Amino acid sequence: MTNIIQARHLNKFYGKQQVLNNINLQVNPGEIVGIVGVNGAGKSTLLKSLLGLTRVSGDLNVCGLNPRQAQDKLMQTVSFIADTATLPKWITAAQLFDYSEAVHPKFNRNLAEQFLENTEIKPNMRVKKMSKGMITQLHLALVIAIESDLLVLDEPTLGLDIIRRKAFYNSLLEDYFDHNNTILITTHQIEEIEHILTRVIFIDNGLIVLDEQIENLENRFIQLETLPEYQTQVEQLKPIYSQKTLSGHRYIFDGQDSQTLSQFGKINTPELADLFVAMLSPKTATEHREAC
Amino acid sequence: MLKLIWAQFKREYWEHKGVLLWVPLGFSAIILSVVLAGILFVESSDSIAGSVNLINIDGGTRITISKNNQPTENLNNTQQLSDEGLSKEDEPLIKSSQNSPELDKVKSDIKKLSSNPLLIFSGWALSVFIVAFLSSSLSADRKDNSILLWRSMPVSEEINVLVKCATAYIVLPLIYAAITLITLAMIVVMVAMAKLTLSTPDVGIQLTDAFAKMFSDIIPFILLLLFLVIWLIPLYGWLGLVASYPGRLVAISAALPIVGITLIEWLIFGTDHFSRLIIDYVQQGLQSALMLGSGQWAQVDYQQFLVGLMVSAVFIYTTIQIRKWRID
Repeated sequence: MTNIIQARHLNKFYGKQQVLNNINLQVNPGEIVGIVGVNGAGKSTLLKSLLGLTRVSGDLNVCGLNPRQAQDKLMQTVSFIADTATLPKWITAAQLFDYSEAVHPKFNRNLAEQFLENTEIKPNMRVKKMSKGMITQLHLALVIAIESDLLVLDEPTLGLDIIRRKAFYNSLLEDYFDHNNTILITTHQIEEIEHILTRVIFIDNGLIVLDEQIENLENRFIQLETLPEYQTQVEQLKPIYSQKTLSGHRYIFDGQDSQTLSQFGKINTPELADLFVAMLSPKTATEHREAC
Repeated sequence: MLKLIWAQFKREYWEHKGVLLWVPLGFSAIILSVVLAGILFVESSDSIAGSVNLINIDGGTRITISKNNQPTENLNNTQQLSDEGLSKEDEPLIKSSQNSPELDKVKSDIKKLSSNPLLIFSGWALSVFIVAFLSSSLSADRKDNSILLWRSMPVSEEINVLVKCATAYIVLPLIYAAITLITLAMIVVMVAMAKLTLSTPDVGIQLTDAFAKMFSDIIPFILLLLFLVIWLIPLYGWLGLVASYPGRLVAISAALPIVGITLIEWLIFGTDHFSRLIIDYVQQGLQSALMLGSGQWAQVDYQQFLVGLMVSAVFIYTTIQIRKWRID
């Protein structure tokens, strides 16, 4: 299978600060990859480098092209939403579709207009008259109507209320994703994309600290809720994260045997948000960095 | 490719409709209102026993409405309302001066034209709008973050910037020229209509003459302005380049290196070659435009024109590179 994204040893510095630290990444068609990290972790820089919008050192190939050298050609097969603020205030929906139809060979205007029919957006309404939710819908209509191989979403629902955020991701799955194309999403609201992801990448200080298929998380990570009397025994099993709860302690383990852990309490698969906190807590992150 | 370029031009038009359309239309509306008010004033103050003259003076075009026994009042450079009194036989409705074929006359016209406030004003006004368009066009998308949307489209930055430059240096001046011509044509028609109400018999013929004269006078003037715009592209290009660079103070950023180099040269060497070079280039442009306007093609400084175009190309190339780089 040909990789949609093939990145090796990507490094990027802003002055003396390293924002991408030896990133290696392969993404296959059909994957929905969530890239999660705190502010300044390097998520947006990674996405921009994949889109050819920033220079990085290392080997990078996206959809068979070098993004920096063939950025405009790359955009024939890649769609991109930075956030809702990128649509200019002066443009109308009709103008946006006119323009896209003229410059983008894979833009299907009928599809975009069909999508807008289910919204309150009128063709001649300017972006400056639209609510943030409407702007997102317009941008989504644009993206859905482009038959791309790769969709890159950088904090696409930033500033939207929860209903709009859910609607956005539902539309993405129903109207865009067809198991042949690939989606890359960065977000802070990890719990909202958890159900749609096939793979998750945690990034911290420019370094990938976790890169795992969602289906493998269940086998690899275990969350244990236990009583205070087991604390000593459980901590000998080297949890990656521990947290005091009302009834005792909660631990997260990486690669531990579930049968061993089950004798100390209730076990389950941690939520992505809990795993994110576990992986990026200062102690765990330091250990992972050393391991890398 | 043509479809893509046309879409880029449309995008520039949608985004800068104000400076590309509404501003010249606004000026046109003001001028037409003033002329209309003048006509109505003349008509209502007495019987409009006046003449309307479209006269070629100093290479420019003037329209005059005259009445009996009153002194001429100059309204502006293009329009003159005066009271001199006129009967049907007195003067033609619209008359034109004759262009002298002699070279001396041409040279004299050039001298007059060079001090013609209409040319100076038109040149400055056009330059202001070109610079306003360029600085907005090359920086607004970064300021409102829409550059990320445009860069998500399969359009190269080269095409993007070249269309912006073509809009500034060609489309904008042509739109202004077209609106100027239409405005002048409307003035001629308005004046003729005013006379028609006074039952002047040969108004149709005179109107045709007036249009012919107007176009023969004003079109060379517009071409001359367009040549001047192309001559000045290195200066506009420099401002466009500065506007592309992330920063808010475009005017200061553009002026600072020029003032800085001039000052350093003066302090170290005690000379003013750099500032003189710029001033001479602008003056040479004006002179070449006037030579071109008078049909003296051989007198145009093509070498300097070519150097200017090459400098412009360097500025445009740098602008493209900055816009590619600055998204970082």
